[in-house]
Amino acid sequence: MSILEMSFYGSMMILAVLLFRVPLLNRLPKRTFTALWSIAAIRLILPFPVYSPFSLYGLLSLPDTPSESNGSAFTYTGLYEVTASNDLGINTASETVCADTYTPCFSSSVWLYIWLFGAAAMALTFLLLYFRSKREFKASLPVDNERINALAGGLRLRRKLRIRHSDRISSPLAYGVLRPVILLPSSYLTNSEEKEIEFVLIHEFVHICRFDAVKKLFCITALCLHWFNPLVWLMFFLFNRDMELACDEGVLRHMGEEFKTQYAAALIKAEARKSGLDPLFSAFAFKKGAAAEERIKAIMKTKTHTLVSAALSAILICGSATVFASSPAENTDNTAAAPITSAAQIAVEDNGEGQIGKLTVIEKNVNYDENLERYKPFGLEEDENGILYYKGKRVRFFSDCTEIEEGMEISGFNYIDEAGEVDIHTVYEETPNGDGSSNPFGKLVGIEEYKPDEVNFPAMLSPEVVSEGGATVAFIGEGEFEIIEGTEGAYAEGDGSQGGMTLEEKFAQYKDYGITYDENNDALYYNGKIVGYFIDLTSTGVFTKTFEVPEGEEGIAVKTLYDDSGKLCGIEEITGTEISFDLVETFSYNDIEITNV
Amino acid sequence: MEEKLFNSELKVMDVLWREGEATAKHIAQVLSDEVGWNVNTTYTLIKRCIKKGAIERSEPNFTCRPLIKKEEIQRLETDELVNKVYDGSVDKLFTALLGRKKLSEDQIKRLWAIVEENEEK
Repeated sequence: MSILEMSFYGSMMILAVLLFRVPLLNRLPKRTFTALWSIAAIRLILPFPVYSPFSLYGLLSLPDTPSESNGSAFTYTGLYEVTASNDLGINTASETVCADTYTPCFSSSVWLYIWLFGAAAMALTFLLLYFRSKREFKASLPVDNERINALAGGLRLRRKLRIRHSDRISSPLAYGVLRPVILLPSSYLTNSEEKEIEFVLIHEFVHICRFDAVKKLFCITALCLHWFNPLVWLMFFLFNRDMELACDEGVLRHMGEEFKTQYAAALIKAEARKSGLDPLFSAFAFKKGAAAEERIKAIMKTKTHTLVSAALSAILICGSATVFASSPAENTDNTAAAPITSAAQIAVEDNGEGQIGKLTVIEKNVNYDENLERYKPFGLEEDENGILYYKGKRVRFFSDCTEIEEGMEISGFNYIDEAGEVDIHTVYEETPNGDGSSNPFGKLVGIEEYKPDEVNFPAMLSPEVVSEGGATVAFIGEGEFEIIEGTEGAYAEGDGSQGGMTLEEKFAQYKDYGITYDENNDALYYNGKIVGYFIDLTSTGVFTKTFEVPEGEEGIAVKTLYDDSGKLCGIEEITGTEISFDLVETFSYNDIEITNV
Repeated sequence: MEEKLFNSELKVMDVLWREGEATAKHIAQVLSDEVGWNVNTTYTLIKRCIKKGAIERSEPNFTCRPLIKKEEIQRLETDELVNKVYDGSVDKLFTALLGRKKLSEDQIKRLWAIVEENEEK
């Protein structure tokens, strides 16, 4: 998942929590909100989607974050040996370098560097603060005071808890995860009442019990990764505040509601003394006026929570996670046949008169697992049955292909799954090879969906059939082509071997659409008009025939029309200028023949 | 010496005041037993004391010598206490001390002796 995607899902979760927090903060146990914030933070950090059928994004059919995926830095190696059109020599694509899953997928790599710089700056700052504080804390002194140690003894913890004091801090705090320490200001040893110390110790103890330090760490990590997202900053502030509120609640739960006033008084007293290292550690008192007020208010309003509110908060937490933090997944119906994949080799050769495009299937049902890593950053996932999903939608046709000329695509690798719904293809950026030629499969920059009508799907379904025949087609000039070589079953120009059919039989196929063939004169008519050029382009082959037109007359050019299911449905006249254009357009990846090795 | 010594640094000085001179290694050992500091922490503190002019380092072996006497520190701290908390008045501090607990005759005699001593100065 890209950073932008993670930020998006995380932001949605944050907004959801904000929505719930306003009315419910004082009605539900405060721990509810720390749990919700934790989920949001985790969502922001995890680089992969977690699927659930209840995901909000699926239910609302929200468009996924646009992945103008460009600019992540890796190239690919492969099955491909491509000779670039027009020029010079064979070249193989370069080494595989796998991209990090945290690729931001911004529109250019400038943003990538900006993000990296920001994240590094944040991380560095926090690390510096952390190590500086740690050094100070290490120089703290153990507490000999009997009173205090007795109180501390009452706090049961699986880990070993130590109490120490230091004259470098102004407010009590807790630090350490594996070996927690409660650090008191030295003045507390002489200058405070018993009850005050007890409050302090229990407060810090609650922080330690709940691993608040770990939660803060997650929060900070999320902030480093998403420093550009103001909602994440908001989460940072609110998460910390809610942790304190939950802690206060825990203290009163432990000691008893009747201590509300005393506890609030103790907090106010401690207000004056502050430590300067708050972002990282759970300090006792608070900084800003508003937060202080909220805390005192919350303490005074504390009441024991009923089973009902506990249940409600559990539902809220689970519900929010499934709805806001997960990604939609299709119901996987595995009754469809296993997807067909094939790996093919493309060569575009220059035969002196023009270029020849030849696509050869070298392996059927290829295991493309090792290649899948390259596609993953762009939204392609594979489940355990080998079914591919593009952004959660089941893939119907996936072609790893690239455009070498306008309208001309060559394909290296095709995946077909009848039960799928989305047709996608790769987008490559041509890269120079350093010797003057360029590699059209140079740099994988994205995976995109085909436009709705671009893929003639039924025709894709049976490569086996296709492989029974085929032709090698030569491209001469712009968009014009002719067949120069046919294999068995293929249609070739003018030599009469139309898959075993005579020309008469062949043209009889088009009779219903206005085609008549005059065998005696070798002439073709379309609705009475004389035809000079006929082309029948399908996924399984292409058949063209040029007819000699009597002098003084002009022959028209006609082409066949097929409907969505691949059935012949008509004949249409095309004008001269249209010929090249039409052929370029229709002669896309799915119309190139595949010859079997 | 201008900067104030913190509790942790005073603890280091304490070892030196007790033992006169000692190697840094030895100080670290002692403090590890007494307060549970690791070697790095102690060394950092020793270096800070050196920077503040409280300790002098000599080779070999990173030998440390206190540059300031315990009494001096006590005086400095008392002065600060008097100025900060007792409005600069020693009398007030005195009164506070006297008010705190009952003094024995011996203690009172000794106190008067000190007062006289100081008055003469």
